[in-house]
Order: sequence, then C-alpha cells, then structure tokens
Amino acid sequence: MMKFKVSGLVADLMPNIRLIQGSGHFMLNYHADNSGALHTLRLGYCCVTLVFMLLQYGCNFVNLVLERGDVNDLAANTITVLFFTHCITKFVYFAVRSKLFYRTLGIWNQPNSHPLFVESNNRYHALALKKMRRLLYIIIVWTSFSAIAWTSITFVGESVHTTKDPENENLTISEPIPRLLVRAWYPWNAMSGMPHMLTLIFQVYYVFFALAHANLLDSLFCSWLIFACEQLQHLKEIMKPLMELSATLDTYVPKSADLFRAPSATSQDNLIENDYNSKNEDLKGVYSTRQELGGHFRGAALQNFGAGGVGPNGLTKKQELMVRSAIKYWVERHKHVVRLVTAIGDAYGVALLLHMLTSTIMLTLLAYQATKITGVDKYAATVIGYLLFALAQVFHFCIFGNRLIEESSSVMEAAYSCHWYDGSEEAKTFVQIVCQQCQKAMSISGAKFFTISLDLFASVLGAVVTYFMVLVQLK
Amino acid sequence: MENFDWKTTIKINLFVLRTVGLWPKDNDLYKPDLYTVYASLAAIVIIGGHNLFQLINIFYVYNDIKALTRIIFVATTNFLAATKMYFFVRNLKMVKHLFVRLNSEQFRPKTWEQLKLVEPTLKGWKTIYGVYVTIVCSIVFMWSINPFLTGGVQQYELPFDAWYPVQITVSPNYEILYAYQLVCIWPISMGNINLDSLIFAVMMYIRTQCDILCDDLRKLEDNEAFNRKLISCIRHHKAILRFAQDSNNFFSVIALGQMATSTAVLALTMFQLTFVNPVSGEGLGHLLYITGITAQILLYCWFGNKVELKSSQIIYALYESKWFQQPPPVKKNFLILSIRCQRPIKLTAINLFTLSLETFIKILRSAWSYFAVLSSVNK
Repeated sequence: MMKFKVSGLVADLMPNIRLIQGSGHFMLNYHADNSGALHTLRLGYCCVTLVFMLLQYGCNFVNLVLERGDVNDLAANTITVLFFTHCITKFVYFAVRSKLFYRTLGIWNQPNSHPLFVESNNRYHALALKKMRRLLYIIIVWTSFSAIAWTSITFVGESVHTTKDPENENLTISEPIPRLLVRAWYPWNAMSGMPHMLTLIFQVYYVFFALAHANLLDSLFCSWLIFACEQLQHLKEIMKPLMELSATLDTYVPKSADLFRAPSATSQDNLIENDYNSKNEDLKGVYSTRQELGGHFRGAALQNFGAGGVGPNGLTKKQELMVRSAIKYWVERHKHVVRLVTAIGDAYGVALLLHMLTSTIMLTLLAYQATKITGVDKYAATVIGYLLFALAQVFHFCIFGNRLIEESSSVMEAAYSCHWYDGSEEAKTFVQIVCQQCQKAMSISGAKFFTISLDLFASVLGAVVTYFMVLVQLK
Repeated sequence: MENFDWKTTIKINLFVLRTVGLWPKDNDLYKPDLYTVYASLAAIVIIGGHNLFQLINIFYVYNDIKALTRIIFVATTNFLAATKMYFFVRNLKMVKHLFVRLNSEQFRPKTWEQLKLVEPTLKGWKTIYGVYVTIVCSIVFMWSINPFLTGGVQQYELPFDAWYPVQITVSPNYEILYAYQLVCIWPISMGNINLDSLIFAVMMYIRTQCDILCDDLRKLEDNEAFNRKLISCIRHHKAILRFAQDSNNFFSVIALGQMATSTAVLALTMFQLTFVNPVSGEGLGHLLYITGITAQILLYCWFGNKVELKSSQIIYALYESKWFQQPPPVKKNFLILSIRCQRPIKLTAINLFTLSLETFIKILRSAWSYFAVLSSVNK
C-alpha cells in the first residue's frame, strides 16, 4: 500500500478536491486508499450521478420539444435547458479531460527554494491559501442559496401553464401542471401524492448537484489563478532585495559554466519529497520538475567551496554564489509560474469557450424574456434570478483572469522601479531580460478565441443591455 | 530656477477652492481651526441640504417619468459634485503631498529653454480653464434667472424643484428659499468645476514633466558625464511614474463617477429637450447644459489622452541623444530605460476605462442609445 502524501497545490486545494469528489465528478485520484473495491465503488457513484443528470436533462429536453407550440413556453424552456447545459458540459468535460487537471494540480509539487526568500514565499503562500478558502466559502454559500431560493420560489404562485382551449381555438386556458422546480416530462403522472413527492426530491437533488458541478469547477480554476497571482506578488516583492544584494557585486563576470554546474558530491539537496509523484502512474513521465530545473538546488546549508578566498568586491565566493543563485531562483520561479499558467489555460480553456457560447445564447433569450416583465411577480423574480446567476458566473472567472493580467504586466514595473542602475552588469542584464520578457502579460484565453478579462464581462453586459434595448423598441 | 513655483499657474483655481471650503491653507490639512468650521458648515448646509431636499422631492415624483427626468438631470450632477468633493477631501493628504513633490528640485525646469518649452502647455490649461468656467457660469446664471424669464415668479416657481418643509407659495418664504437655492447652486457648481480643473492641472503637470524629461534626454552630450546625467534622467522618469500613479489613485473613483453620470445625464437632458421648444429660454438652458456636460467629460478624456501621447514621445527623445559612442554598461542602462518607455503612462478610472478620446466616443455613443431607448419607452 502506497503512503498517501499530499503536497503542493493538491494539499492547498484539498477541501475543493473533496467537494468535487463528493458532488460526483470523475476525480478518482487523491484518495489515501485506492484499492480495487473502493475505486470501483467511487467510479460507480460517479457513473450513477452521470446517469441521473443525463436522465433529468433528457426529460427537460423532451418537455421542450413537447411544449414548442407556445412561444413563451418555448423561450422559457430553452433557457432552462441551456442553463443546465453548462452543468452537463462541465461534468462531461472534466470526465474527458481529467488528465490535464491532474497535471495542473501536480505542477507545483516541487517548487524551488532559496534561504533568502523562504519567509516571503511562505507569507504569500499563506495569503493565497486564505484567499482560496474564502473563495470556496463564498461559492458554497452562493450555490446553496441559489438552490434554496429556487426550491422556495417553486411554492410561490400558481403552478399552471397556458394552452389552447380545446373548445375554442382562439382562447387560451390555464391548465395545471405539476409543482416542480423545473418543467420536465416524466413517463409517470407527477401531479400529486407519492410520485409528486419523489419527483420533487429528485429535482431538488438534481438542481443542487448541477449547480455544484458547474460552480465547483469554476472555483477550482479561480483558485489556481489566485495561487499564480500570489506567486507573482512574491516575485515582485523579492525583486528589490535581490537588486540591493546584487548591487554589492562588482562588474566581475563569472564563467557561465559556474552558474549551471551540476551538484557536486558534497551538495545537500533540499527537495520536497517526491515519493508520491514518482510512484503515481498518472504524473510520472508527464511532468517532472527535477528534470526541468536541473539538479542545481541550493539547500539550507550552503555548499562549502573550499578555498574560495575573497573576491574583488569584498564578498567571499560563497556570498557571490549566493547572490547569483538568488537571481537563478527568481528566474526559475518565474518560469515555473509561466508553466502553471499555461497548464491552467490548456486544462480549462475549452470549458470557458463552451461556457461563453452557451451563455451568449442564454443571455439573449433572457433579454427577450425581460421585455415581458410587467410587474414584481414570480415571473420577474425568476427572470432576474437567471440573469443574475448567469452574469455572476461570467464575472467570477473574469475578475480573476483580469487580476492575472494585471499582476503579470506589473512585474516589469516592479523590475524597473528598483535601483537597478546602481547594480552590477549581471543585475542589469537580468533586469533587461525580465523587462523584455514581462512586457507581454500572461493571460488565460478561451481556446484562443477571446481573453478572460473584465473587458469580456463588460462586453457581455453591454451586449445584454443592447439586446434588451433593441427588443424593447421592437415590441 | 530656484523660485519657480508650479502653483502660480493655478492660483485662481486654488483660490476658488479655498473659498468653497475645499483647500486649507498652503500645504496643511484640515486643522481644528476656523477654516475647518467654515468648511464643515458649508458642507452641511449647502451641499448636504440642497442634495437632501432634491432627493426627497425625487421620492415624491418618481412615478411620473417626465417630472422625474426634469429633476433628475440636475440632481444627478449635484449628487456627483457632492461625491467628488467627499473623495477629494478624503484624499486631501495625497493631493497636498503631490504638490509638495511637484515643487521639488527634480521636477523644476532647469533652464530658460525648458521654461519656454512648458509655457504653451500652462497657457493652454489657463485658456481651457477660462472657457470651461465661462460655459458653466453662463449655465448656472441661466438657471438662476430662469423663473424671471419664463414668468414663473408669479406662480412662485423656484429655479430647482425641491421639497421644503415650509410652504413655498407664501411671500417671505419664497424669497428666502430662492436666495437659499442661489447660495447653494453657485458654490456647488464652482466647487465642482474647480475640482475638475485641479485634476486637469495635475494631468497637465505630468505632461510638462515629460516635456522637461524629453528635453534633458535630447541634450545628453557625448562626454564622461553622460552616464551620470542619464541616471538622473532615469530617476526623474521613475519619479514621474510614481507621481502619475499617485495622482491616478487620487482621481480614479472621481473619474469613474464622472463618466457614469455624464452618460446618464446627457441621455436625460437630450430626452428633456424633446419636450420643450429648443429656442425658448428653457430649451436654450438645456442646450447649454448639454454643452457643459460634454465639455466636462471631453476635458477629462482630452487631458488623459495628452498624457498618453506625451509619455510615448520619451522614447524618441531618448533615441535622439548621443548614445552610440558610449561604453556597454551605459548602453545597458539606456536599453532598460527604453524598454520601460515603450509603455506609455495611461491614466485610468479604477483600471477599467482609460481616459482617452476613444472612451469619450464610447460615452457619446452610449448616451445616444440610452436616449433612444428612453424616447421609445415613453411613446
């Protein structure tokens, strides 16, 4: 039995992961006990969830087809179907592309470290953790509140729909339909009694779990972005002490071979344990920090370079190499962050694209529905509720995408604002390369179609308002 | 240039702000003295009182869309003015600190030539200030004498619809309330436009600093002092960036509020204009008001745009210096400076909207579409 150890992002995001597993997503890793029986049990749970979700979605769709005669009903049912398309899409997407998610979660398992910057690193890590927890609480509260609100509003008002009067073609009468959360067709009569109660409970389960599926995945994505942003903040913070340190260096230019030498026999590598990764089939071979960064990690105990003597600027060789290793730490950490962001984009980009496509159509229809609001009643409440929920989902990932863009483009400003002109040639080369590299901000794109930023949210909002205004004028 | 003071250009502006109660003497903040008492009294009675009465009136008439828009397009500007003054007073320490930094050694023009260089910019600000004040004064004047023009004095009509706890139509009450409204609207408007002008002045100062920096960079001679002078230019550039960042923090929310309300008010005023005869006194007042609001938001975007343009000139000035004979370490300093200067100084409203002419066009378009919706809803 392999010893279960969590590290890196998996450890930080364990509550998220447990919730995602609990809601029935196909996340079958990260369990202490992954023996055959339990694994099959978990797999079975996920499959059962999938079957239930698809069944209910199918019932919704059948209802849409059956009620397509009346325009109002058609619009309302299409909105419901599109709303739950998000949830099904995310569920299936995760099941199909779970490898990419595991890869992203495993990327931060072996970050490098430097004795000078451990304190700053830990501080920003703690900050990221705090923010991720807070986001998770907000998402849980929001999902629960939405589910409860949906359930409560079912019991308000009449449960009817209008159909053509069978006696007179031109009139419409209201016909009672089952009082359920979502209008769906069932092969049994769910009007009252035991079938009605059971169907109601099933629908409550369905709504709650569907909302959870979509929101939890989005919050996982946003938590990754929070982490990346805090790492960038850490890098910006250590730029100034790094410059001051390197200002002590003279124009002494070392042989570049010294900087990237493989560890000598006396070096003590202070790596984070990678037992878990090496034994985990999914991660081995996909990504290995050790291979990527080379073996030149510096441990808490400095290497002893023997008779180093004193350099031209009064620093011992030990201190000079400490400074150079600090620069190397910065560069390698920055590259690590870039890799993380790329992995996040690969894992979630397509899901965002699908989300935006569905949202656009749904918001257009909602704008049309909104023009029919006549007063403060159940109809208005449901339309506004759908609208707010859809916009909140888009806002959720837009705001974190925007923060990433801002943080990554301010690295250049942080590099420029320290006293680089007093530093050594080496430091200036470093600043120059950092400035050039960080001119382009890191961003997450929806499979290269659009960038996730607040501009996207503003354009979505503007589009909804425009459609609404046009439709109002057409009425 | 020892006794050059940037503040001499904006003397009148600061004087009016002082009169309204927004600018404590010199570089101080609000100390517990007579001026603070005067300022707080003015805030409560004039700004607070006037806005409160208009707000209460809105509650009474919100069902009637025509009456609502008649009140709201003036009331919104007053609310905005109050909000802007609040944010200004909250950030007063930062503003005073900005002016202290502005008069430091680093930011002063160093030669007569540089003085000549910045003079057109300063003069331009003064001209714009004069025009802006004239427009707004004429608007407020039109409002003040509107009851006389339309003959509403007989019906005891006040310049602005507001709710008062006393009866308006009784004789001494009417005169007192009329005088009160005049006493309210003039300081509010003057405070509003002078606040705007102060923000424009700050943006204008950033431009002049970029001018001075460009001049310094062009004049870099090919001698041993090149590196030393280049480094002082780099320090100057960093100080300009910090100054721009701090001033952006100060007026970020104000600019956002201004943009949002300008859009709404433009739409509402155009809507109002469809109900009155354009050549009557009231119609003329509305047209003037539209001009004033457009001018206000245009000036924000104009000055922001100018800062962006001017800061993107720095890199050309850098290239015009005599850099090619210098040793590699100096060239490296040069390179890093030029990489940074490729990104111009962008002034934004809470990082969402940059103050530029494109934003101005967007605002005009939005205002027009809101106006279209309002008029179609009303039909």
